[in-house]
Amino acid sequence: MDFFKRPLASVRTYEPPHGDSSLQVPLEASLADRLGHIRDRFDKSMDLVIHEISVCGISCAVLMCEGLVSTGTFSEILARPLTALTMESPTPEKIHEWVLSDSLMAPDQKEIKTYFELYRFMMSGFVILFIDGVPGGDAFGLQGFPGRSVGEPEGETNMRGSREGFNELLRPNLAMIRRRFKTPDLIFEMITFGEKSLTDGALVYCRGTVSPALLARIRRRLSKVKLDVALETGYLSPFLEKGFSLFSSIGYTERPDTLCAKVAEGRVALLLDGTPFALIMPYLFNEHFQSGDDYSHRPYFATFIRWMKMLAFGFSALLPGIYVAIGTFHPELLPDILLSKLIESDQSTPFSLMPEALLVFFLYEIMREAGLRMPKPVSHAVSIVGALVIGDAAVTAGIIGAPMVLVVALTAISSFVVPTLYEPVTILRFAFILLGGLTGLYGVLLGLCAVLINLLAVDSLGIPAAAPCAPFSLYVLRDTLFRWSWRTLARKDLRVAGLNGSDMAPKRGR
Amino acid sequence: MERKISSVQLALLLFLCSLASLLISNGSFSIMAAFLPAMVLVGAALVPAFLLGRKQGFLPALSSWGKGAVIPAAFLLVMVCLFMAAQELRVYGFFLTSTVYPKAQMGIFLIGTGIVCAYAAGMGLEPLARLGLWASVFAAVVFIAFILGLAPSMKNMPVFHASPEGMSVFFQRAFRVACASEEALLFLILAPRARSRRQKGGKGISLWLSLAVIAAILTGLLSEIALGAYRETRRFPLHTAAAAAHFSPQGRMDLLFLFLYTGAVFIKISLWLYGGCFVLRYLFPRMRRGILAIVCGTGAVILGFLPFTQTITNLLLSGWMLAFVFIGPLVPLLFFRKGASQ
Repeated sequence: MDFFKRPLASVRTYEPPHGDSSLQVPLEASLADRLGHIRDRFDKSMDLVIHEISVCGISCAVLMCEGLVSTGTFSEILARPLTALTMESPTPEKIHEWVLSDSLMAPDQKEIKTYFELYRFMMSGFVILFIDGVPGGDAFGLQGFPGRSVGEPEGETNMRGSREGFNELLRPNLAMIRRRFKTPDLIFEMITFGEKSLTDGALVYCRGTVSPALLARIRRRLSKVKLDVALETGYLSPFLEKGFSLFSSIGYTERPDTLCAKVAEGRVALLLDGTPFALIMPYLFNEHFQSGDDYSHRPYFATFIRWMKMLAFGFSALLPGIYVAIGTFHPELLPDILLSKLIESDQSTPFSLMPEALLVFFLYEIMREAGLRMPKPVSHAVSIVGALVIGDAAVTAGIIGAPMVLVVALTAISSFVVPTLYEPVTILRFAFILLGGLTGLYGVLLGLCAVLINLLAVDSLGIPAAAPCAPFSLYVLRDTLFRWSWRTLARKDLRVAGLNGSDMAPKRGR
Repeated sequence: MERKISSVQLALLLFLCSLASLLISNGSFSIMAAFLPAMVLVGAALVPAFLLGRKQGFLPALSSWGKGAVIPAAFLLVMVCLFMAAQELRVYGFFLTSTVYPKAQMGIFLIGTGIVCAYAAGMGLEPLARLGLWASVFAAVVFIAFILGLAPSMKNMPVFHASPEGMSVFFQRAFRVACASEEALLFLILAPRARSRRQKGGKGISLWLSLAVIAAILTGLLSEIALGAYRETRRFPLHTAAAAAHFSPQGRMDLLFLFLYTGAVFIKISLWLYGGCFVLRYLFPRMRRGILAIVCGTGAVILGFLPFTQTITNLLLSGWMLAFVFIGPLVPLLFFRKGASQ
């Protein structure tokens, strides 16, 4: 079948968005023309700042977007040297030469040729210098926009290890990674998304560790991103995934240390300006049960925690469904005392088990969502009211049974143990309640078969998401179902692209 | 393009298919013991099919022989796949309505199981193969639990004889068992989807046949130990034995049996439907696998409701299946040899 494969040359490669085609016009030599065009384009927008100055008698202009530039740095390293410049028989070309070669006005300095580049740099916090008579302009990176300081990521709290989390600014995020990975093999490949937003992003990978085929596949899929605006990495994940599944094959993290660990295993990360969530590709299902703390704890305890998380995941997805199925169709499977309690509760409530479970879980989801979106002080109040309404008032009023409250509480707590799987677990829980209530354990079993097949069919960029459990790889299980000691783990590096079942794995000799 | 599965994965899938039949078999130990020569016979019958099909498959080989022959053969093969899937759906539905849900309509189980299996078939062979390993491990655990649970009954265990009626009856029985080996045809269909390395392929076949023999003997032995003469009155003796086993928290091991049987049946029906899709795709290469899976699933469910399905599958299992497996590949194989010598 190699015969039918497309030749490599025709494979689509990543191309940055070109933005508005009317902006791909070269900047003129006349300063008045350039400023006229820019003023027309900005119309009444109040954040455009244009200072027309004279440098050694030559007309120049400094342009910037208000609020994006550090004014202190601007006046210190750009405005002062420029205004104090003296030159014998100055010409526009001589000043331009001085700016380019004989001065250091910013750590990041670029020449711009078109209006597209002009707007892009200016809106990224660059200061633009135009010299009358010299076509194009010079951009100086003097960004100084406000941003959140580095803090502990709320969604991925660890007991030990770094307290640093990513923030919304791309460059500081890259710096946090570079500080932990001091090798020139760590590459930050700049990439832009969004025809209108032109959001900067960076592919992060370790050259020599990452599979070139994996990298090519990611670039190819990113080339298919067609968005006007890319505000969050979540916008991009559908372009990186293939087929439909409940389980995502793309992970995310807010922690630079987690990202470094993943990149060291041959994965690729994608950071985007404006969001603290970096995408991790490929992402295997077992990684949902891992955390940074696992590698700080002692191995036996880390293994125990992993098993507990897997059990909690099973509990949160299946427990209500199995409870409803057994209570409705197979009560003989319950211990006698529990059965008598169940009958007692069933007789005192108006609904049968399935509608009761659906109702309680629906109410629970409403309250969870309300608690999540409300301001924090109010969300506490919502939680208290919810707990009182469901836990006490509803049972006392005889609307729901006490065993159901117990099941809901157990399930809810279990679902928070693996927060990254909350979305599929919530849907699965409702599905299993319906299946269990309508067809008993048969339905739950059949549903489980369908979910397993769905999970086993997921390929995360060519690597089976269920690896190394299915396809099975005993050696890799040392850091999956178990967490071996660092002495064992450090013996051989794991490369994610080399896992069993991966289409990028090196071919074994016959 | 779909990736190929390993020969071990294929072997485990076929073993689980055999297990789906064995778990609800009501044969005595002597019938189950006949599995040993029967599986040897199946293994021998598979040699030409394996030699032919390991690289390109039966249908492409047949198509190079004569285009006129391949289309009816493929349609016949699709129909066989659908009938086998339908029959398995009926058996599963019958089991559930006889043991777990006595008041339910069988149609619910036909439709429900058909939908999920069609979905699995639509997802391809690879996820099923990945599931096969863990389902086999689960089967081993369940059998160990059965042995432990039935251990208290072993003190009164009688001495079993594999051929109490004489060797000729034993071998006739073995021939009948071999003729009813539907997994042999599945092997023929799925062999091109496994990686084609002759030595490993041979090991895969041996693994499947050995596991099937072990499971058959264990099944016969366990139901005889647990139920004795009472076994003959039961339609699903191993299920009854599981319900009577002492080794479980609630004194009931039939739930484990239900889990295992559902898993094995799910894989078996999905494989038959996948087989149907695989052959159909040969005929209609431009059609998407998902559409073909829906077509096959719907066909199997409809056939499952029809009364003559049972008669046709009985006819297939009376020897036609093995003949199809044994004689079918021989013709193109001989033709190839002839072509090569010319």
